[in-house]
Amino acid sequence: MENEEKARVSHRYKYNRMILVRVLILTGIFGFAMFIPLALKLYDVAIAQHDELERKAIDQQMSSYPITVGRGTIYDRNKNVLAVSASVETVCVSPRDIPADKEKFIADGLSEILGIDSDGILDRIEKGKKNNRANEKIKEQVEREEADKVRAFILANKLSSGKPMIFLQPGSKRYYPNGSFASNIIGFVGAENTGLMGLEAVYNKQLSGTPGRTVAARDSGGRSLPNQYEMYYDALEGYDLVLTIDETIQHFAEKHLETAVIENEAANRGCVIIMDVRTGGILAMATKGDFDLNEPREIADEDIRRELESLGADVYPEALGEAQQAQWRNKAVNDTYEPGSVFKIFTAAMALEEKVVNESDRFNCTGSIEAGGHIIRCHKIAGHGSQTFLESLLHSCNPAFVAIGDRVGPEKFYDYMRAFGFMEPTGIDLQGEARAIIAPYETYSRQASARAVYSFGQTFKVTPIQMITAVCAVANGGYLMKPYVLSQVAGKDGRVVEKNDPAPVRQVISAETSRTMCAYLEECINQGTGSNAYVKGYHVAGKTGTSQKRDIPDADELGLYVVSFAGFAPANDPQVAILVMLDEPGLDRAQRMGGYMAAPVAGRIFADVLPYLGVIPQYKEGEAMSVDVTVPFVKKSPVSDAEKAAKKEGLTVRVIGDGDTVTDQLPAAGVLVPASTEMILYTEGIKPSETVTVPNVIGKTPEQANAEMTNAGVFMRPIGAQRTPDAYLTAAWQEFAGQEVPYGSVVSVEFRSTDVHD
Amino acid sequence: MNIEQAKRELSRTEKGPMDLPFALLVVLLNGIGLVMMFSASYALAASKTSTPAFYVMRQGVFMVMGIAVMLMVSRFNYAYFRALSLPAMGVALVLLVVVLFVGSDEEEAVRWINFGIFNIQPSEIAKAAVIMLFATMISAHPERMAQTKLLPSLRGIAPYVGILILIAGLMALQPHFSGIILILSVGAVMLYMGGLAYRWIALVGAAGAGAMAILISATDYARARIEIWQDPWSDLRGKGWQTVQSLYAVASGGWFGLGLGQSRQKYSYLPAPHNDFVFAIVCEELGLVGALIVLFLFLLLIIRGYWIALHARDRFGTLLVSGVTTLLAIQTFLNVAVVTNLIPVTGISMPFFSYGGSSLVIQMAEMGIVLAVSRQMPAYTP
Repeated sequence: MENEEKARVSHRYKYNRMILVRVLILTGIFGFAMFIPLALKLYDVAIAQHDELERKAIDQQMSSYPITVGRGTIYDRNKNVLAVSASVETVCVSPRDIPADKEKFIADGLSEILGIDSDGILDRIEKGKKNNRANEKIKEQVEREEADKVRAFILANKLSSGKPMIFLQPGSKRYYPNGSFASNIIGFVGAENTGLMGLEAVYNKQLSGTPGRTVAARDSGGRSLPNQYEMYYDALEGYDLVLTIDETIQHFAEKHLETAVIENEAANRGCVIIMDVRTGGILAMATKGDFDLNEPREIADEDIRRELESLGADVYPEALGEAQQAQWRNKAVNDTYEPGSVFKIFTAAMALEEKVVNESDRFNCTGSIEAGGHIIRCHKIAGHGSQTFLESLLHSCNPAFVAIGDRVGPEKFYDYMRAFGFMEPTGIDLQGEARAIIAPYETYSRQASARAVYSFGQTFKVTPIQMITAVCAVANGGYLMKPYVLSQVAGKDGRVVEKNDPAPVRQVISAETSRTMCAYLEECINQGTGSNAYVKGYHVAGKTGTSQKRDIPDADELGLYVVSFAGFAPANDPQVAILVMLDEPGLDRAQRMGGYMAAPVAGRIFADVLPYLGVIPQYKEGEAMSVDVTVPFVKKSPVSDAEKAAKKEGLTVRVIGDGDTVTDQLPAAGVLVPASTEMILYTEGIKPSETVTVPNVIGKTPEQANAEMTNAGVFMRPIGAQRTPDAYLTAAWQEFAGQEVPYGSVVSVEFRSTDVHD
Repeated sequence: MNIEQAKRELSRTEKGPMDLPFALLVVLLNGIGLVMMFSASYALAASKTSTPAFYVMRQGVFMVMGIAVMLMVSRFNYAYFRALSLPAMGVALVLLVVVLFVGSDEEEAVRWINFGIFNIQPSEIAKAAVIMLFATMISAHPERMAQTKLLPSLRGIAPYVGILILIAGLMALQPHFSGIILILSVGAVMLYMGGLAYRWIALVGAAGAGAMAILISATDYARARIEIWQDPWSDLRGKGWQTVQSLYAVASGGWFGLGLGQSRQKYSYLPAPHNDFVFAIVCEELGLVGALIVLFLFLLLIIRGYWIALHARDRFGTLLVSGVTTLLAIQTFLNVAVVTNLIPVTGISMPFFSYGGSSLVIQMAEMGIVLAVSRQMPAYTP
């Protein structure tokens, strides 16, 4: 019993001891040791790897969402809109939230509204689903009307409750209200509304503003979290650009340039620059043909487009690209051309400034001159004979200018070339300004022939913008201005952030030389080769130029020429300068002259621009007779009063009938007629009511034309060139040729001088 | 011991109070768990059901139910659990077979049986059944376990090993690796506490480890998980996603966390934030310090559990409590280890924290068993 008890106690003791030890071991393992690796690993992840992993976590959670800002508007100098952004939307779907049975329905619905292929949408939903995507763009730049339809579709079919299956994201689209207007300078934007061309590209930074950002914690589907992990970076609206361009003047320039390019078949297009003489601000800059800014990639020229379409698929993309690049080129800045005789302005100006010539100097022209072994011909084979300095300029006599250039000397000549800004880009705020192609001084000074031809603007090339800038320097008292297109950058609130002020680069010639040159160049219009740029009542000054394209082989055989005109007005107070350049015009050789093709374009533009700018006409003696006057209303007034009223306007009268009171009149009240017109006053009955046929007077002299018009029973109103004597003047354009008009109508006829060889 | 003695003893012990520290720790962990589960499930519930409190409301109901079950079980005389052990095992085995045919899919494995208003994981019942059955069997014949000779001892452990292999085999068909690991671990601990000699433990341990190694290397399923474990970023958008997101959550917490409710990872980055990965959200919101406090509470609970096991009135009680406590400990360890990528991902929920009604109730019933045993602890006699 005792032993048994002992054994029992011993057994119990042993048992208890085993339990104690084993429980303690379990406690050691599971109640202590087990926690050590956990704590260490937790420390490792939460503290040791904290920075690295937290950064990754935040990268994943925080998405930066741009807040799009409106791109600035581009205005002309009178705040007319040239380019503007409008809100559009992007239609997106969230593939992973679209149940399989809704896929087809949604694809069909969107296809109908957006006009895109239903299968394509279905395909993208299915692909997006596989990648668990929550944002798949279906169509970008959707305008309000379509977007509203999508919204209605979402609402009607309850596609937005809970997780949206279709949603719209805001964006913006660029509009150019005037289509092709000033396309080569305004330029256009590409994807993401980034400026690709023209001012859109040059001032992209200012226009685009600073898109704001929301940095926000998002769930893995990109939806925002309800917590406060959001940071905003302020968005800065794009600034507006106010240009120096004047929409109206640009319209004049484009209208007349386009007509000229078509009329003269300028194969390599043409350009016009209109510049504010005193500031260097560009009022207009046009290249034709151009393109529609709203469809910049469409080839605007139908012939080229047809040609492209006939190409095979292998060469088509490259050819299309080339054609696009070509139509985007801004000839006024990106291209160079041979200035030809226009350059004589500068040779003359430097000769005057250097006082190597004076008014009484005479230059003899025998029809040609020899320089460095080359015979240089004058356009007048018989020669101009002995002529004064001014006459040399009016005749645009090459041998005389070789002599004048020689007097200036090569060193000075190059100094002036540099001073007039031909040696370096003007720095205008437009893309891709080309550099002039001018021989280095060493080459030039070594070759007598080069020295000779440079003096009348041949064998080197400058950009149109360099040329107009230099012309302005001659006109404005000698100051070479830095040309610019941007007037100011302004915020939506009108605050001006950036401003371009007129920036004189240097004074090239003295005010006195400038005055003399202005007077000389006005004579070039009045009696020289620029007569076709003449505008009644305005002192137009300028010089014409014609040049072979020397850098193209066989240019002469092919008849590849560049014709141009550069001038300004009014000559006694220069305000606006115009350059017209037509590249590779295609008419017959007799007419392929700057004076015949380019000068009239400038004349037409001056005739529109000068009144628009409020320049008051000043009629010179001899012009008075041809001044346009408004026919007064004299019906029902006594004959004597009527005669007085007509006389006041400078009109003469012829009375038909014996009455005392005017019963009818011709021409009708309010129309413009030359002051020399004879009014017809009817005192018995009314004017003849029949219609008459306007005769075609193209090619006729003013006298012949007037006779034919009067014969036919219409009044002629001559415009364009006027010279006394009017030899060489022929009608180049007229209204209503061959058409029936009421008896006594006024018909405008534009005369051009053919005596414009430069 | 005669009947009178037993009755006397019984009446004395029946009046004993339950172990308050253990009960309070369980309730405390339940409370913290519910709050954290609410925070973790908020976004998921909001996006899935549009009721942010969807999960916490259900879990709250189950928690109340669980506490009631715990208190109820604690009032039983645990001696009667012996009688329940065999039927429990029977039910567990039947369910383990049934689940293979009617189980609902979750991540390519069938683990759940849908009972309409709630789902049950048969493996949860199997774990409790193993503890109860093994405790019953061992305490009935303790000498069979404590053999030192090979053959008798083999004969002694054969039925246990047989049951474990049967259960593990059924689970492998689901497949349910984490369940197998838990069952085998708990089974091993039961045998250990039954007094199995260390040499046989070493043998069984080695055999078990070997079997696991073969299993792991033989199946693509397991091998792929090992590879992801070594470099979860290698398949960031695929199998590594959960681990990476969990690490992001843990790391984002730093020392003191982002603050309660401030988790970002729970917004559809971390899958199942309310379930197996609720502890990652604990780390993100409460930081390392908060996580360690939670783990310390578990540590206290586990130590108190073993303390109760040590002071249990009899061997059966000791075996029950150490089984339950060890199960809790291993489950906690594996869950936190998965969350921190200490071990490859395997589906083990966090006791008291993870969402899941039936497992919570079963867990609380097990806690009730511990408390039932604690009620009958002999009064402290120095």
